[in-house]
Order: sequence, then C-alpha cells, then structure tokens
Amino acid sequence: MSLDIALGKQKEEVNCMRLELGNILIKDVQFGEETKVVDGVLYVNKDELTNLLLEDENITSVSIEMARPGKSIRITPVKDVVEPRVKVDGPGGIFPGVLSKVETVGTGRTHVLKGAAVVTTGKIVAFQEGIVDMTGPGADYTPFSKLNNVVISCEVKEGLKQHEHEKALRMVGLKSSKYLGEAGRDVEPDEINTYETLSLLKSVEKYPELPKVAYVQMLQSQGLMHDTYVYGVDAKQTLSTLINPTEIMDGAIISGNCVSACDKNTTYHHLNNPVIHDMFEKHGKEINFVGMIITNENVYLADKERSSDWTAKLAEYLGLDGVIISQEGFGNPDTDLIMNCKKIEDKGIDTVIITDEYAGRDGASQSLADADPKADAVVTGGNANEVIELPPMDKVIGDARVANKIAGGFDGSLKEDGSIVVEIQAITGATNELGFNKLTAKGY
Amino acid sequence: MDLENQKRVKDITEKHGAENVIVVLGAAEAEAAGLAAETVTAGDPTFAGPLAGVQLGLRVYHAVEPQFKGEVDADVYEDQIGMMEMVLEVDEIIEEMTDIREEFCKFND
Amino acid sequence: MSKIRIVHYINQFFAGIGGEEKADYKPEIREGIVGPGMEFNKKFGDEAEIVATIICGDSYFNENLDEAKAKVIDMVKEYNPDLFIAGPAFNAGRYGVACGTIANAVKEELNIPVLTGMYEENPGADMFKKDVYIMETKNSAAGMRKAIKTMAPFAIKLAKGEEIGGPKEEGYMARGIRKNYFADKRGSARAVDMLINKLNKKKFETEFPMPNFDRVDPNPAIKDITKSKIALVTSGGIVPKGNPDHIESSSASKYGKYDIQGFNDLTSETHETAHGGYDPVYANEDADRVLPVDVLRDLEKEGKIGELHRYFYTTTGNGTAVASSKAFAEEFAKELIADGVEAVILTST
Repeated sequence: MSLDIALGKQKEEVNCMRLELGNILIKDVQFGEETKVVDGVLYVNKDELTNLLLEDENITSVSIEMARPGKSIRITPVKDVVEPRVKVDGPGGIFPGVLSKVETVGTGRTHVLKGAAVVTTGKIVAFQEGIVDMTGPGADYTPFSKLNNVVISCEVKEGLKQHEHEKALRMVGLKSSKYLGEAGRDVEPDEINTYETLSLLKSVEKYPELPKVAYVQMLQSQGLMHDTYVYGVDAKQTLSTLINPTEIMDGAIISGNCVSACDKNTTYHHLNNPVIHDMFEKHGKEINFVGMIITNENVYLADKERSSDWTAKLAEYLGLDGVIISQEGFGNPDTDLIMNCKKIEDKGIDTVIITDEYAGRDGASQSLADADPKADAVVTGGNANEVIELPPMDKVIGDARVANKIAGGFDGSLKEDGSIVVEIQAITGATNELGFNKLTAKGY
Repeated sequence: MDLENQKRVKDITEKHGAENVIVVLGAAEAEAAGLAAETVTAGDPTFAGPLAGVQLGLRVYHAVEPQFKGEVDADVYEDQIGMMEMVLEVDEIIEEMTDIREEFCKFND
Repeated sequence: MSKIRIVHYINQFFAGIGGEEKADYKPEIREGIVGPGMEFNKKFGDEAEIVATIICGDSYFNENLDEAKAKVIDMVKEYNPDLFIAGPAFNAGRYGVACGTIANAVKEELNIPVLTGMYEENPGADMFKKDVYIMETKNSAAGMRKAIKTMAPFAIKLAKGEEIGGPKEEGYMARGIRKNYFADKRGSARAVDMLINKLNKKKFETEFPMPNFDRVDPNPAIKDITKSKIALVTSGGIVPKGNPDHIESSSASKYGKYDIQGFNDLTSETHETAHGGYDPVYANEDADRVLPVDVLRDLEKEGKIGELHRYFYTTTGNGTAVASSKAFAEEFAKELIADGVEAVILTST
C-alpha cells in the first residue's frame, strides 16, 4: 500500500468513531460445565463465576439462579441489571475505568449477548430497590421480564459500611457481565449493526441540509445510592462535557444508583440507551445526529447552575438546532431538567424533554416539582404513583419482605398470600426516562 | 332580550296574531341585535325568559335597516337615528338580521 | 329500559323569576322542567328526562352555604335521580360557584354522577374542575343551545356508567388527572418524532402540558414616596363593624370599598374581620393588625408618605377563586388609578 493511501485511510479513521455492535441472540440460559454460548443458549459454570465473585473479600456468600421469561418468579430487591458484552476489536475494554483500563472505547467491534442479563439482588442496602416479576401484570411494566436473567444474590461481610456495600454489589453485576460476555467473544453474531459519528465539521459537511441535533443525557449524581460513573469517574465530580454515543455502548457510563426503581437507569439501560438508537435511526435521513452531551444532577444550587449553564454553552457552541434531554430521577432533579431546558431554549435551540411523573395515586397532583412554559415538548414515561396489585409468584429470588420498605411500597404492601399492592414506582424500569418503554400518561 | 320585553312581545302576539306584529330593534351591536331577533323568531336562546321554546317567527327589523328606514319620514329619521347610524356597524347589523330572518321568520316578505 | 331520571338545578334568572334583585331567592323545587330544562329534555329524547328542577338564588346560595346545600340535597333525595345537572352557568361567577359547589356536594352525599357547565374563566371552573365534570361552554347564555348539545349526551354517558374519554373529545374541562396507558412506540422514538416535528415547525402535541404558574412581575419602585398617595387593599377581610355588605367568610363573591376618612385608628367598635380562615380574635380586637390604618396615619403626619387614600378595598382571600380575585382587582384598580393612587399596600393573611 502506498504511503499516500495509507495516510488517507488514517485521516478518514481519525475523523469518525465507528462501532460495530454484533448481537448474539440468546434464547435461554442454563447451568453447564463450561461457560459458553452454543446455538443461542448461554451456559454458565456456576462454580467458576461464584469463585470469581468471592475474590472480593467483602462478599461472604454468592447464590446464582436463573429466571426465564414467563416463569412465575419474582426478583426483589433488584440492585442493577447489566447486559453481558465483550469488546472483540478496537481499543479499550468493556466498562472502561471500572473493569477495564481507561482507554477510550466506542470503536471497533463489540459482541452482545442479546436476550440475556445479569440481575443483582441481595440484602437491602437502602429502601429504593425494585421488583421484577417474570410473569403476570407486573411483567408488563419492566423490560427485564423478557430477558433470560442470571440472578446473583450476595451476602456481605458483617458491619460493612453502606458505601462499600453498594460498591461491592455494583462490582458483582459488572464483573459477572464481563465474565459471561467473554463467552460471546468467538461466536459469530446473528446480526451486526454499525453506528458511526463523524467529527462535527465533517458531519455538517456531509449533511448540510439536515438539522443538527444532539442528545443531552442527565446523569443522577446525588450521593449514596444516587450516583453514576463515567469512565469510573463519579458524575458528581464532572463538568458537563461531550461524549460519543458509541462509547456508551461499551459501558462508558455505569449505574451506581437506585433512585426509585421505576426511573433508575440500570447499567442495562445505559448500554442500550434507546435515545441513542432512535437518533441513529433517523440520522442522515431527517436529522444530523452530531453527538452527545452529558451533564449531572448535583444537589447544590451552584452546581445546578454551573452544569446547566455549561450544557447550554456546549449546545450553542456546537451550533445545534435541537436537542433531546433525558432526565434521571425525580423531585430534586426536576429543577435541573427545567434549567437545562430553559437555558437551551433561550439559545434558540429546540428542546424535547423526557421525564416521568409523580402525580399522586389519583393522578391529580402536579406531576413535576418545577415547570416552565418553554418546556412545551415533553415525553413522559408515565405516573409512577399509580398503584398495581402484583399476584403471588411461585418463587421469590431475594427477599419479598422488602416490599414493605422500598419506595412505592408501604406497610402492608406485602400480603399474607404473597401478593403485593404497590405503586409502579417499585418496579424496576417501569417509568424509565430514557424512553425505554411504551408506558406513558395522558390527561383527563 | 330581558324578561319584561319578552313577555310584552308574547302578549301582544297572542292578542293580535303573529302576522300583525312587527318588532323593531335598536341594539347597539350586531350580536345583540341577532340575539333579540332570534328571541322573537326562534325562541329565547338562553331559555331564561317567557319566550323559551316559543317560536313566534315574527317579522323583525333593526332601526338602521332599509326596510324600516324606507318606511319612515326621512327628517324624523335623521333627527332621531342619524347620529347613531354613523357610529353603528350598519352592514354587520343588516347581515345578522337578514340571516336570522331567513332562518327563523315565518313570513317571506 | 326506563328513562334516566335527572334533577336539574338552576338559578333565579334562568327560572324566569328575576335578575340580580331576586338573587336571594330561597331554594324551591318544581316538578318537571323549568327554563333551559326544556332544551335538555329535547336533546335527551327517549333516554332521559328531567323529573324535577331546583331553583335557588345565587346570593342566597353563596351567603348561606351550609343551609342551602343541606336543603338542596334533601330536595334531590326526594326524587332519587340517576344523575344531577347544575347550570350551565357560562361566565356568571356566583352562579358557577354555586353550580360547582352543589354538584360536588350531591356527588359526595348522594353518590350519583353529576354534571355542570361553564365558561373556562368562571371562578367556579378552577375551583371544581378536579372534583366534578364541567362541560366547556361559551361565555354567555347565548350559547345555551350549544352547551346543552354537548352536555346532554355526556350526561347520558355518565348516568349509564360508560367509559369516559379525554377532555378534548368529550368537551369537558381538563381535570388535571393523569392516567397511564401503553403507547404504540417507545418513549425515545416518540421523542425523536416530536423533535423532528418541532424543528420543522410542524404541529406536535406535548404529552404533558406545563402547569400555569401565572406570576406577576413587580412594577418599578416609587421615585419619591413622600409625595405619593398610597392606598390600602386587603384580602384579610377587614370590613366595617357588622359587615354591612355581607362579604362571605370564604370563597368571596364580592369585594367592599369603604371610607376611612377621619379614621386614625380602627377599633373593635368600628371594624371587624369577615375572613373565616384565621382566628378572628386579634383582628376583631384591633383591625389595624390586618389593615394598618394607624401606622399609615402616623407616616402621613410625619410626612413619610404623601397621603393615605380615603378608600380601602377589601375581600376575603380564604378559598376565593383566583379568577374572582383577578376580576375584582381589574375593576377597582381602575378606580384607584382614577383617584390618583400611586401605590398599594396589599395585606393578606
């Protein structure tokens, strides 16, 4: 190859981030002697995984069970849900800055065990984790009832502080996913999708007629049980910044939070961020999806002002025509959401915001804690306070008694026969604000 | 049209027969004129007065309409109505009144 | 199938009894229809009929809430109807408040479906749209036929217990109640579609309309207050002793304008409070505590303000509809301006 051609190819590569995502469709999970994927079935070597997790001396015992779609199984309390992925080509590894080195990810090729998930559960850390029912009315409210779940429950060392307890469980989910993901390394994916983001100027050059849009993702960053990590950095400590959509697909952002189960972004949600996917769908056709801005939701007013100012500043600098802003959590971050929206609208940029609602059990209370007439384009994930009755399940993985204590539950939530009367707030992912679900609300 | 006047129109019509009654209005606006006209033809649209649901179908005109103007002494007209005629939306009033008559009046002259 | 039985509530005006001068008409019940009931029955056809009509003056109702409610409910009970309709009240404020109040009371006590109708700016609307279905109507009784056209079929739906659709399709005022349902597409796809429409200036519908906070921007500060005429206005309900104009203790339907010329101090002999929302003892002992006439007279003497305006305006803030407050102020603000008042001290409780 001549030097010119070699240099030319290099130049093309440095102006774009391209990731091939190969989906290996998983239709079942089983225990087996070897962890591997054969004909769409993920086999798990229980002992090997258990030993891997026990390497953390804070973990005293591990139990692993399977929960398949349609089975009468209830998983609670759910700490996190993670999708097994593995980087097969390109720089960096899955969960950079956490399980892999900090090298920038989002290019090359990554394999996904699509249809499988790791669900972590365990003795309650705080009162905010969720319920996943694999069948029944509750199953309609969580995307995880449709997955083949490898459910991992852990006991931790006596006297372990809350921070460390949370971290230990967080790492269990990530490590397990990475371990299982490895089983997909040499498997030929059933389908491969390619996602590409050009550098800003090249992108505008390529699609001069299309409106320039970006995705602004707000990350929960309010402290214990309310944190998010970007390349291993606590989002509380970050300034609003740019990130490439494909980096998210390799686990650049992971969940350390369980706000209320309904609008918490599990790591699974991050990896499969639907706004990114749906923006890519229309990219080059009706919009020019130029990139992504991430910003946090700290509790201090100065931080809120700084972050939202910074986000609006970046949006303006990119010369955007429009943004979609997704929130995480409710109440306190409603202020951040409205600040971001107002400030970006004031720059002459169109916004659409995605949120959920806490309108009370009768749906008659005000849905958001803050409002502004400029937020005239809202997508909602539904009213989290709506009450549902979940019938008893044959099996409970975890501890059903937590229903009385988790957010959305109340004393007496859990009935003697095992049924639970609870707000959908308690169901993991029910009102997700990335727009993951079809659930929404309308006014009467 | 207020209850008193509705009663008067009703009584007069009952006494003399609808074909022998003409109502002349002096409302300041087309809308008000239309409502009064509707009241004495199709019935009180607010259903509050004696003409609620009573369809008299009477001939009704506004003072600024040619059908009335043409029938009266020009000097007297100028004297009594000339000033008002300048301030009112005559065309609008004529249009409104004509519409009502076409729809609800019993008599086609 | 037997006809749906309905009891209808109207005020003295629609009953043909009289206007404002007859607004103190006590509750009366008559068999069958009165006034607008005629048009209702026409639209009901074979399905329903008004079996009785209750007539009550707006002043009587608003000034004797408990008795009026009790009396009317007893009257309704007599007929054991399937449904209760009040009004429609269009933009008549006191009538609208009465309709909303009585419809809500009937709903709670007798547990039957209820319906009323009014114009969106009627104070009764904001007060009761969460509690009872309020059909949207025009702002004057000229819109009666049109109002009944939508109210009649909706009433039948309510009486039959059929499923009620959204406010836009059925014609009632949005109650601000949120209900979940599953859409065809996931939220992110809906968001992208919405953004594309917004960018292309095409119509889109937000899934959650922002609540209206209606803030008032303050005017710039007075340049020289020592030359200004200041007026006192209060929603604390201070009135001359005896409350001569019967301003209500709650949910005021009127305001008062009173002369304080010659008054340097309000006392328990001269003034009192009509407000039912706070402990009245201290205000009754000395009304200056809510309407600071004494302090302003001092400031006048000291030359710190130009002059205290001779009239004060008052109403009861307790439970009073925002729309009513707005309407009162729109009216008397004109008088204040005409009287040369530059600034108002507004006290509330």
